[in-house]
Amino acid sequence: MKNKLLTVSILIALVLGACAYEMITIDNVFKDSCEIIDSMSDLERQNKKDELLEASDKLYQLWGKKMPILSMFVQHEIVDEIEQSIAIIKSSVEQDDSDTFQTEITRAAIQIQSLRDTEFPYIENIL
Amino acid sequence: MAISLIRTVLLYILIIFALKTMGKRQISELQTSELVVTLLISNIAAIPMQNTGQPLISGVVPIIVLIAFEVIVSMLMLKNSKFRRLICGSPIVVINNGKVMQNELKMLRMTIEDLFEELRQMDVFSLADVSYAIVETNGKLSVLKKTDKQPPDASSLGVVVPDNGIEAVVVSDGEISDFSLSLCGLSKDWVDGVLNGQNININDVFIMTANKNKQYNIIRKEINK
Repeated sequence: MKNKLLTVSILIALVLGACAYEMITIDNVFKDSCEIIDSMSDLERQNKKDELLEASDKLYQLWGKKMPILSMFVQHEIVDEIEQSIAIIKSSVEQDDSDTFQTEITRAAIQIQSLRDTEFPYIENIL
Repeated sequence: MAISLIRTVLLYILIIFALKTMGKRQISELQTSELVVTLLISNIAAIPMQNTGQPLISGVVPIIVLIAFEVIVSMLMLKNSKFRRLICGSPIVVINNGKVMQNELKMLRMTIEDLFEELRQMDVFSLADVSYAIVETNGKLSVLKKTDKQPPDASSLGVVVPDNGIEAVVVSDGEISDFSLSLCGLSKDWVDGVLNGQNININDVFIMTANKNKQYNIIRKEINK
């Protein structure tokens, strides 16, 4: 019985570790992405094309790096949708398509916010 | 497809581990909580197996948590009888000294037909034969027949029966079982001696059983034509 108890204690520790890692990862991705998205909106307003292009690359790379980790914890469809929006943002910046940029940057911001809201153990999510 | 294959293998290993951790019991012997956990594990495991868009970890985490809680609850039940009664309930006497306890049957939502069915399955065909019947916490019925309806045993007949211990399979398909030998208090040398005495090669043995009194039975392998 002691051995079983030890085994389940280790398993519980691993599960709690995985949960903590998931929340930290999502929170970090949320903060980094929101920061970049906010700066991109400002840069677009100020019409700073080169810096905007640089920021869109940064956002694209951030998602490319974090997507495999997020896919381990979050439904793949949600992560795929955000990645798609970010890819469209990047191409709209490259093509100087302001309307698409505005639409997709808003959509990406909502999706990322929604990802954080649905994955965090808030009371409304638990119930 | 490949993802489903790999996930199925991983979840199979996890389920085997889960069931092993929960302990060896037949489905019919499971307590309510164990049965619920077993059913939940099988259902949870099926989701990430079929839906590759669902992260594997979303199936693994609940399974691990369920096993952990099952082990913790079983440990608490071992340590604390009140907790055990709270989780498993108590056995309920439905026939007390030959009298059917109607209130208890009602409480168990058990009809008299259900009771008779259970009794018949235990080779009891008359209520008059029963002294006590108890519904155990796992839902099984235990029956004590009246003394005059119980089959006589060796002690009541005053017969001395030699104790041969358990008969174990010491050689199976040419392979010696150390566990069975230790169970009967026998050795490999004894097996070799018996087989040599009968001019039988161990590889030709299909089954050899023995007991602690060194009584044995050998069945040779059939030769395929």
